[in-house]
Amino acid sequence: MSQLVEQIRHVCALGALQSVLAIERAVPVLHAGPGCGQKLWGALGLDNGCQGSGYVGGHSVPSTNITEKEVIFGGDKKLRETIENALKVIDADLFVVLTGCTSDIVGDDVGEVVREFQDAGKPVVYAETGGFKGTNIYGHELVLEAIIDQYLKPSEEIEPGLVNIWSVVPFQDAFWTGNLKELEKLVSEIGLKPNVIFGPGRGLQALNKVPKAQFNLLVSPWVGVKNVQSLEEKFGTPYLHYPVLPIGPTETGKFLRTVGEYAGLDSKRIEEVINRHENEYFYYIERSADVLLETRLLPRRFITVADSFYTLGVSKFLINDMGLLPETQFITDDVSPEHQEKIEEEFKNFIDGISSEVVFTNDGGLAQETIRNIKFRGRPLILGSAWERVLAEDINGYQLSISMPLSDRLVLNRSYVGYEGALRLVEDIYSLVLQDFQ
Amino acid sequence: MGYIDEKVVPKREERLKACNAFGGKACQLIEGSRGGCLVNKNRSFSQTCNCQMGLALAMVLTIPEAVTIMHGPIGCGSSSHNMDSYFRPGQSIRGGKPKALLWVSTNLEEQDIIGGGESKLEEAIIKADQNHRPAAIIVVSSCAPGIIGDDIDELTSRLQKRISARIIPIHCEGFKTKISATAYDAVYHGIARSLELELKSEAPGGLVSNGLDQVKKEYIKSKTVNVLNVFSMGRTDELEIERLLKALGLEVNFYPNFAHPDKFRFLIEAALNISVCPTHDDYFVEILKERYGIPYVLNNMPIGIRNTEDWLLDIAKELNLESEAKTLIEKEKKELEVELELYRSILKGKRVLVSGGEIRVAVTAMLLQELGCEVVGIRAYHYDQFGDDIYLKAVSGNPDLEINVATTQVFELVNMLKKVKPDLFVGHSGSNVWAAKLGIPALPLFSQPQNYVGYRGVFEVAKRAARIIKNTAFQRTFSENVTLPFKEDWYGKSPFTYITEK
Repeated sequence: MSQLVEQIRHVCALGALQSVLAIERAVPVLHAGPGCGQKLWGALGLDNGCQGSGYVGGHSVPSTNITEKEVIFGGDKKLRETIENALKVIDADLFVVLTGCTSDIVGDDVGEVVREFQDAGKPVVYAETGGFKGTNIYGHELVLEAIIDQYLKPSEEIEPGLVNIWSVVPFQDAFWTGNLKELEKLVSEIGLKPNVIFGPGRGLQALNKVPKAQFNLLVSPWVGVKNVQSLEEKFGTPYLHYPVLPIGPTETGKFLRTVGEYAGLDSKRIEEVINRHENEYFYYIERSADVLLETRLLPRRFITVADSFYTLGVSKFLINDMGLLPETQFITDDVSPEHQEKIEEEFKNFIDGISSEVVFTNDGGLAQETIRNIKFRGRPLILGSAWERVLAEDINGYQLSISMPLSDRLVLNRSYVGYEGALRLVEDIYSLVLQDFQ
Repeated sequence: MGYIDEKVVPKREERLKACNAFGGKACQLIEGSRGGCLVNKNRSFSQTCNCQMGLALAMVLTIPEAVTIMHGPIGCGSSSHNMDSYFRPGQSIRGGKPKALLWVSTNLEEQDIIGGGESKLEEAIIKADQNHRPAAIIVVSSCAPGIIGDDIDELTSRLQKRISARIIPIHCEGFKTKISATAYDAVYHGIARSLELELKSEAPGGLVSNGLDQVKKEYIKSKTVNVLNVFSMGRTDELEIERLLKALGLEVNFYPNFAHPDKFRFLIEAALNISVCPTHDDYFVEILKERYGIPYVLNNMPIGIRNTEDWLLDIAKELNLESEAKTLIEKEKKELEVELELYRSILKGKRVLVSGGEIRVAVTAMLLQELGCEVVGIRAYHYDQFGDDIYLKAVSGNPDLEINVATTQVFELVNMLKKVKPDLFVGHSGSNVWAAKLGIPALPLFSQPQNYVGYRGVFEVAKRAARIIKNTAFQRTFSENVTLPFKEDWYGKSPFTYITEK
């Protein structure tokens, strides 16, 4: 979407450096200007749920820090030197070279430089992620493509029950570690062996297992479709695409049944798992129901201004489980046009014939302008980013940041996925409302 | 100087022979700087640091009633949402009505890189003017439009004719300079070329002005000074500066951060321009001296006992207030001494390494020495002639002190820390976590809500340093449980192994 953008909700393709950092002991090597890494880390990391440097992020990311000299004379030499020395200085298992605008405009032959290292048996891959080429979500897919093409090797055997899980975009989603862990837990409870490459304690060991999987499970409205297709092409691994981030009993139950059926699992066991979780979930809901039902100022209508993961997942939960009504939902992760129709379909498919209007825009300015023109009868609930704080004050709404940028929250391992995640979301939303009375 | 007539200000490597890569003894650094042979250093391995666009944004985003347009792909300036939490409290603490930060990205994509980005910039400027009716529109230009050759000056001067807001083009393409402090010149250059710096209302035949009015005006002007504020000093520091200058009978106006675009018309109604950081303001104060004959002081930063004193005396000398200043200094120092006693006993002999902005690290090192600490290393983001005198003072008695000139470069920092093993690290934001991974407690070199400047700042820094040293449990357990991302044999090498001559 090539229009002006006010109030960003994603960054440029080079922001995929954070996806590399999400793989334990993998390190990005930037062939970019001196300030690119810092800004993108600030946007997706430090000021997005306080996800700071970690092991080798922030200011420790190797970078050629391109100057006028490389722009004029080319940066191949500088890149070669930087990779060579990064291999000497940095203690990591995989080096992912990422280019920025300067290098992509000038036309450095990065592939050629990286191949020299690959030929020498060094764990180096590359992706051309010049900022003008797209978003960090697009960049995230490029990084995975690079790893699939240049790093992963076909496996002779398939491990039955092994499932690779692909879902939210690390760092872009501040709750990614918690969310992936929850998906992993649910999938393992129904009797499969989940394999997730992002997050603590996984790293290359998990990555190397990817070609061995029985199938790939993509839990995402659209991000990653390209990658599971590539995995199918290269390794013959089939995939299941589940488009909704499952939050709450209705959607999580549906999710577990779909996965179980696809994997050919015994439905009795799946129903047992669902039943156990629902009992626990409703134990808490039963206790809080007095307040949830009787506090007169609770919001009835909600708006999401978020990534497609959350607009869809949260809408499903709030409508199908919590009984709220939707206003317009704004999808801000620059969904490519070929996926928009399918996502829109999902918003017509709630219980009791309820549907919600959807707007695809990555321009926060437009989203806020539209919201300001809506006439609300009560206080709306706005699930968006920190950008919505001022807006919410102006229109007297309740605001909770769930989507980038989350500069107003510290996020550690909180998850909004599954049964547990739904309880967290209920806690967060209704605590906000209760605090407002105090 | 003549640079003001150019569209783009020269980079500091050229204008000031500034250097961003050095490792060695203090005496070599200063000698090298004075002999002009520090330039052209480089690195054969480097880590991501910052670019001049980031520093430019830290200045311009504070300006109220302005819309900033980031001309580039969407990642440039993307972390600016963190400025919102700096901008809004900054506004309200200065008495303004806090509004949300306004900025727009031209979101350049592949077709714009091929076809040029000027039409999108034009659209953005017109839209910003129509939708927000700002006093100023600040156009910040990034690498991509710089390489493809968008002519933002031609465009903005053409548009200015039909736009009510003042348009300020700022050239701060990241790849253009290794010295990100060039940003300060780039912003001041834009301000000086685009904003009105004088009040043009008193035309002949206008308001009747009698002799008494004129005398009054001259008197007020003689007692008014401009202080050029910086991003790293918050309102608490400004209040300390104001307190000290008011004690000398002076009225203080702060520019450029948080100053309304229209306020700049009163800029020349002052007897003196005062810098709080020599490497921040030299370009601008020189323009103001050349154009309007306003003198300036630019030697020092009011951090630490001695430097605050020198800074105050510099100002007093220009305004014939020396005896007042001396009385004030004596009184302040006497009060401070009593309060410092407790902290001196805690901090005595503590070994400290300081890392961050060129001048700030040197004056902070001196402050820590005044508290009884031993400075065992200094790291500066860059180095130029403005450092020479201050560094000479800071390392007097220890010309062999190890100095590293590096913009961030965590691998050099960690290597130094491993060897030097200080008791306390005082670092720029983004670096303190790396010291903590080695178990070393860290005091941030700056933090806007807190006080570092003036006599009050000395007390506050002493108090905070003592508190940080008192319980290092976090750093200890942290260092026992995390690993650093560098290979073991890196620590066996000199931290300056990858600094090259060319």
